[in-house]
Amino acid sequence: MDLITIRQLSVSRRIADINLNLVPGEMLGVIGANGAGKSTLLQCLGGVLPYRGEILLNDRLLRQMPGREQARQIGFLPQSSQSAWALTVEDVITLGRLPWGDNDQEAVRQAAADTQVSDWMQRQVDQLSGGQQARVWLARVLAGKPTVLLADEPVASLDLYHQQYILTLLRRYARNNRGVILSIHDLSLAARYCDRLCLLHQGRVLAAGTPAEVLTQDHLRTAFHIDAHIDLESQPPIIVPK
Amino acid sequence: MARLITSSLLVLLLATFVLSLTIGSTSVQVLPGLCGFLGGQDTLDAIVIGEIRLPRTLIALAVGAALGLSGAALQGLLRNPLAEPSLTGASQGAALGAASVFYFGLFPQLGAAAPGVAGLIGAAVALMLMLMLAGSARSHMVIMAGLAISTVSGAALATVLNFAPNPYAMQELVFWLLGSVSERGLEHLWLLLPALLIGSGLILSQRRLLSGLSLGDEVARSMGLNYRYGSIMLVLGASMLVGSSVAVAGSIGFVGLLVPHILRPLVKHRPDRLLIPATLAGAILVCAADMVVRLLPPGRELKLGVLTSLLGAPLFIWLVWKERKRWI
Repeated sequence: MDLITIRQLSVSRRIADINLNLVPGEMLGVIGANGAGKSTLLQCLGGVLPYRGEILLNDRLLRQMPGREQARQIGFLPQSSQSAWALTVEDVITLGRLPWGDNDQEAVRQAAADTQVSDWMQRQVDQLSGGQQARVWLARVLAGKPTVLLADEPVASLDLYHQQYILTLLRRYARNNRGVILSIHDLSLAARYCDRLCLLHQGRVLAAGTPAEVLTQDHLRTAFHIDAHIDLESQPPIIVPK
Repeated sequence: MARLITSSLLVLLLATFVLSLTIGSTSVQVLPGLCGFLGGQDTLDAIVIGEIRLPRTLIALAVGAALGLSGAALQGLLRNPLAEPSLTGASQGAALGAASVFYFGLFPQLGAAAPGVAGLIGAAVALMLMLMLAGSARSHMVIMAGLAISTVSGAALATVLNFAPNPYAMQELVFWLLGSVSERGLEHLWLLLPALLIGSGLILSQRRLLSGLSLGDEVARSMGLNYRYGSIMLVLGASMLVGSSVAVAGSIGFVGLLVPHILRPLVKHRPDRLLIPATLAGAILVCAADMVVRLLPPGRELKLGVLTSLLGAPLFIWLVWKERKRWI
């Protein structure tokens, strides 16, 4: 059974006729050029944008689920986050429990440990560096223990070590009978960490499948207008523009 | 920590209430006076406490609470520490409504409560126009629409002042606008109380939204919070509070801006935990300022709104200075 089923998803002038699914234990990468519709797709799934078409979560129509229950099942990490107030790291992570209406300290502690932010729990989040903040925002989503975790470019502002660390963490999160959908620009990382990829082009799905099925010369030329050096056999896989 | 702040402020509020009843030009016994008033006696103590000091104190507390709470709610909703209650246009609308009473002599049958009633109507009309103009509760739309309605009301108010029928009416109007809680009776409190209760209820029902909004409206919506409905409730609640308080006591500046700002670090900057402390501290501040007004030498009374502005402005400059040092 699918965790998420997307049928004929459209948002006017942004994305059209998207059909996609996510199975339990899977990490799905959404790739594509700027403006291809990656963020829009994730925002629809995250309950932020209204859409036409159907999204099913465990065979239940998302639209018919109460907002709070939806938020317990689906956690959404937006592309850029900012705290309006000088909240402490601990308070930001605790906000992840808002859909549950509790302050589950164990969940908060675990999320902080998983993202390696435990040492700064009492620091104000606006005093941290961009990369440190990015891990705190992710910890906030993890604290809600969602069945499906959506992350819009979660590694964009991270250093190389933390890019790998966070992607390994997300993959481990997905393995636990849950699912992760993330958008990502680095195709080498996408090929290395994602089980399946979905390549968006001008708001439509150009290709979906395993990294080998999606990351072909033709697809990359259409989507990114580049000729790329693609070596999926090497460890780790390499996809760089020529 | 937040609990400690709230309970300390509650104790302080009680002390301010009792102190406010003891301060005045005549020396009276507070407790016997209060008991006498409640028991329906007409001794001097009972009359002074029941008809002068009790209404004045309660109105000062209620107005301060309304300003503090609406300031905290609007700052949380708009995610802007400079947001203040008059931003919704409701306070200018209330001022215009009340000014019309002095000019046109509206509601003569209501007597002293007439400016209050007209002020409430003015606030309600301004609020409805603002929400219609804003279309949604997006923070920048609320600010722009509120500014537009404030400007229109301000222009109308200036016109009323310009064509005041006689110098006496103009002076009365200007003094009223400067803000004061003196010479108000319990009937003003009955005018203020329903708006205060409903407005506070609307704001407090949206605490979770204020929490979620700390991380932006996208995050708030993804956490299952109804941003559109909730923000309209918050604007409505804040406008009811500020509109009714301006209607009863004129405009009392800086309380709604400063109180949340000062308390914020004490509640670890959490907008939801700021609401109750800001309510209590606003009440204490306005009541304490009114006590200062009463303690000043007799003669021409310094208006409460003038005093809060005189004290608030330097404090505000200091806050800006402190904030500046943090970033330079």
